[in-house]
Amino acid sequence: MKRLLILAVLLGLFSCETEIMDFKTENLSNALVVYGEMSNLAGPYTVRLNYTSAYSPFDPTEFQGQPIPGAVVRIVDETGAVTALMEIKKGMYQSPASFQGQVGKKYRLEIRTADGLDIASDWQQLSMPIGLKSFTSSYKNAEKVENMHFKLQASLQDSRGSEDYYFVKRQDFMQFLTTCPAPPPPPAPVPICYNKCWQAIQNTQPILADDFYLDGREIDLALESIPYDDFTEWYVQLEVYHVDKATYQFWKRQEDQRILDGGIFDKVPAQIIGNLTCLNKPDRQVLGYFMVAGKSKERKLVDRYQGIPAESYQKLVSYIEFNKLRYQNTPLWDCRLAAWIPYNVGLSLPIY
Amino acid sequence: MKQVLIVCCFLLSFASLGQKKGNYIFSGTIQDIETKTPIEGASIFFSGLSIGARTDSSGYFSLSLPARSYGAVFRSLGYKFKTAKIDLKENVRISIYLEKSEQILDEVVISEEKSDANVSRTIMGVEKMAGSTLKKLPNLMGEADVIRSIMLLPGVSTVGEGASGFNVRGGNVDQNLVLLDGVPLFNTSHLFGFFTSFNADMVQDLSLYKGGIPSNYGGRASSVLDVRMKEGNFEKWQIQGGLSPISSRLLVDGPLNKGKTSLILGVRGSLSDFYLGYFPNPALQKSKANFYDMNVKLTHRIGKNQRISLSAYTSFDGFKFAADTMYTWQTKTISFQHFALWRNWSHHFNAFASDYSYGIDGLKSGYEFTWRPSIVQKTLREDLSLDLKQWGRSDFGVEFTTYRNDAGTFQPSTVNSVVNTFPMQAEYSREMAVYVGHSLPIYKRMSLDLGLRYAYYQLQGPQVFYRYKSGLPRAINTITDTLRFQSGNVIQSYGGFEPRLSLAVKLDTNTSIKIGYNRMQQFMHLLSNTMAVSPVDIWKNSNPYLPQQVVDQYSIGFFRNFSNAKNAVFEASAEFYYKRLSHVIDYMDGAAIYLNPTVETELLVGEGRAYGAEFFLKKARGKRLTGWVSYTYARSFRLIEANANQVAANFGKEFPANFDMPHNFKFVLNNRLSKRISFNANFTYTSGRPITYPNARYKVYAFNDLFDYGYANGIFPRPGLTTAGGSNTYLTGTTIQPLLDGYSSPSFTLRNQERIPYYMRLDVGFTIEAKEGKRWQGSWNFSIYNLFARENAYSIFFRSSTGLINQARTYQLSVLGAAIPSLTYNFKF
Repeated sequence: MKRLLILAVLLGLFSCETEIMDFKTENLSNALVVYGEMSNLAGPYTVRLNYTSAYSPFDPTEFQGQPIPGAVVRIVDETGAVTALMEIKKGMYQSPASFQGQVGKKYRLEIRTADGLDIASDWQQLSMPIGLKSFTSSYKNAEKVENMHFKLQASLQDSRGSEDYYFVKRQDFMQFLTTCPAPPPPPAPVPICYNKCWQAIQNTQPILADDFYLDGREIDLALESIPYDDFTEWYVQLEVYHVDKATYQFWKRQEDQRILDGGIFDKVPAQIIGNLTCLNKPDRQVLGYFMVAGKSKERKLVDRYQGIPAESYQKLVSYIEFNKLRYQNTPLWDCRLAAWIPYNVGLSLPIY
Repeated sequence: MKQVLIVCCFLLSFASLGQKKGNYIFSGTIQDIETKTPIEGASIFFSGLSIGARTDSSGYFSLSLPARSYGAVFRSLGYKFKTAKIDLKENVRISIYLEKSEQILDEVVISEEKSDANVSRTIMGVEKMAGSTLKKLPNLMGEADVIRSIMLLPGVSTVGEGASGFNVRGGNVDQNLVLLDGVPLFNTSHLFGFFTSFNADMVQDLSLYKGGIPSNYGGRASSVLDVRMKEGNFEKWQIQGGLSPISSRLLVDGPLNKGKTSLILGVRGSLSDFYLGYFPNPALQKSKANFYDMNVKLTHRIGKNQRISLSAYTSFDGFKFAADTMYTWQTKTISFQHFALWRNWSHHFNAFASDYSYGIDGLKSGYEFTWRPSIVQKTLREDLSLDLKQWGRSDFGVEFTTYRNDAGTFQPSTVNSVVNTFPMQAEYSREMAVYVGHSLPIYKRMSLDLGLRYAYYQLQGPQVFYRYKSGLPRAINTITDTLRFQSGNVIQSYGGFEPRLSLAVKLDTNTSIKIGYNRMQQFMHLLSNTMAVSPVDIWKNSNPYLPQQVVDQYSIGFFRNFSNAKNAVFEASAEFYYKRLSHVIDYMDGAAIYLNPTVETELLVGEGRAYGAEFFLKKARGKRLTGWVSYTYARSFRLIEANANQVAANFGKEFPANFDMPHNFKFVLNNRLSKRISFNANFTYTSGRPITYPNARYKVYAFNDLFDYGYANGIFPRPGLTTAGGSNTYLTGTTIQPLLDGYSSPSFTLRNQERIPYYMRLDVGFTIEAKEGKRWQGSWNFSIYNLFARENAYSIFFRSSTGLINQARTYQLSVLGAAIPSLTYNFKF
């Protein structure tokens, strides 16, 4: 009977999702894409200009979209002061290191492309940065190593009486260990072996938060946990941007579009336009955003070695051995050469 | 107001028309002999006369005849006919009781109308279906279903399986007026949109008006689905019910006072929670999918000519899938109705109140909240009908409605919850309508239905209202003023006439041509920018930024009936229509419409047009095989242009509506294999609905800081080694750039320029009827929905994932991509 009941009809069980592998498009858009950020933290600030690319390009060099070189890019403040950005690479423009945003001031990005398009952002006020109120981690034990993890908790203290919006970037850095080769027979000197390097884990998923129903209260940030699959060091870096409502809505709408699962209550696919417009050709779409916000940055070390139950630690050691997480088959004198590690940033962490 | 007075005078002028000299009134009622329920559409014929009469929904008929003796025949489909001799020397009134026919092979599938109603009826674009027909169609999970059944009719479509509501002739879902015993419903769905929210067992019959909408209907812009509920049996108690995989049903009806007062009670409840508990998946075990509905109707007869009824209806849905959020929607209605016949007048008074609430409950510990918008509607309505004999029939009436449309305050639902209250306003409005309609035969071959309705709407305080800077698109930063209206203050008024016209010209007894025009207005609008209408989408009243939606429809139709040598009757029709939609609502790209006090900044107002042709061939009667086949070509477009107060959608270019599906082919057949066993099948083919495909993609923040750091410090690019000890693969000058991850977004340009693959489905079913004469009557229905297990695309969608090199992925979703068998047992005793 139970089996029969399990077979009973439930609507969700009849749905199916299949990937379409041969979906091809050409890039029919001539939209420009501009993305730049500035904050109260020291620069330089970078602005990128490029075109859209085809939706599924087979040429990976097209992933990023063709850069737009030769543009005049500048940041103007409310007093009329102009800061010119230098093109440091094709389509990549950077402000002088001495230029730094000031809280309360309004800024706007202005661009003139080589083919004469004038693009400008809305005026954006640099808001007061908000720091994290708490940022902690705690170990959560489990039967299997795959389920052991560190729970992360971070929160912001919202200010009462104002609508506040937050855009948070998370960047994790994980230390990885390689195996040193066997030393050469004497009398040859034993080379120095660098076997501790850092990997920057790819993540461009923003965390969005607002005080819609938590005005003046502590707002928890939704952070994914860290696996206990090694006992190496792990840093979590959070950059908190205190953004305005328009900026928050831009990212929220982007996220709405990105999490579509084709369901009946999905939002209708839509082009999300940010705060940039082409002044002399209003029909020409400009995608992307120029984000001006008060920003704070914090990095947290998650100690994956101290305070772990001995039994769990033993399980982890076996796990590491079994999964060859020390890359015993590919011994290296210098872990910086481990090209199989995506975003192997080398022996030290990026400057905090 | 002056316009209203003119209309009232126009209404009253009809009352002065009188009775022709030398004629007498012959009137009466025709009822079922067992249940004493009125029989609608029964025919009365007279010896030596070419004219006849038909009963209305209360079983009443009336006509004026010259004084003499007649042999009269009373007949209705499914009943034994009855004859009577009438000596008409004065006004005569009789009551006729018809006995059910045992000859059940002669069956009409779609309607219980006269066989020539298709040709002789003045209005077109009308489909009628008996409650008994609903149960004979193949169904999904054993549930006979009203809305799923009308989807099989030409001109009716949906955006996909499981989608709530339906679209009629290019109109939006919210433009359908769905009346349950005269009470409008704001939501007609159970389990999102898989089932209709009222019990098919309770349905006496339904009428779908796609065009030629009579003037007594109003308030929605595109169509009317008028569902009439059964009355209880006046003679004996009976119980019927059913068990299907998804729900259980029970219906009890009988006399409280024999022959005078009857009660009918129908309840239905889902079984899905029961199944969910058996699934080994913890997520499913934590899920909920409940629904129930209940109808109760008390009817009391006062003498021969009066009837009062008190009815109530409630429907509830609760849905939660593992997560901490529960979606609920609930409808509660109560209505009082009084019917009376007096000479050649009939009167119908209806007073009702309805409360539709919907929303979300957050169940996360410490963050419990509730958000529950609601609409409370209270209506008083009087309909009068005057039979003017050879001058036709006049209908007129008045309707007064108040609405309280609460956008739902977001608030904590437990004392421990830390969430703040976010208040949203309630909107108060009232709507008044007066109408007159007249059906006029013009000689023998022509008939004319004229109607005029005037609807007037007021949005009232208390309300806080924002004024925006003139000449600029509405946005938060263009608010110039906050206006506070006190209770009763009028914020905005709208009104207008709604003319209705239908003309039929009979070319011969079996052929007619009809033309029609109707205008409809709508003052309440459903805001939905999701693929399909969601049960928690909010309704919004017309206000200074949202004028009433107005739809003008022009139609022409050709109708012909014919029969074959076996006396089977076929009905054929071709109808063509053109619709112009004014002030249709659209949305800014990515609009946020929930809990938004300035939602008008997200809304756009534009125009639309729809046109189409519907070809229909129905075998209405036959010994064994009945059914129909239809083909519809239908288009629907929207145009949202920029103006001083809004930006354009789709660059100001016209685009297909989300439900624009040009080709529709449907067939339904019912084959009676024996006296008790019948086979039924239906087939549906529709073009794929429009969809917006991305034609490009782009990246915004692109792992910037890290890349810049690495680049500036000489970390990137640099050589590396593979695990196989080979040469470098990553992190070289040529590969670092392409691998650079980023926030990848699809770029869309023009709306709805592509289509998902076409939709095709075949359903089949067998019904084994109960044995005649037994006290316990059990019947079985076995159906297979989507027999070929076709994975019809509900949508094509795109994911732009992060952290992966291949970031642009395309998927197809099929909601019901399997053959779904069901077995239902129905009983009655």
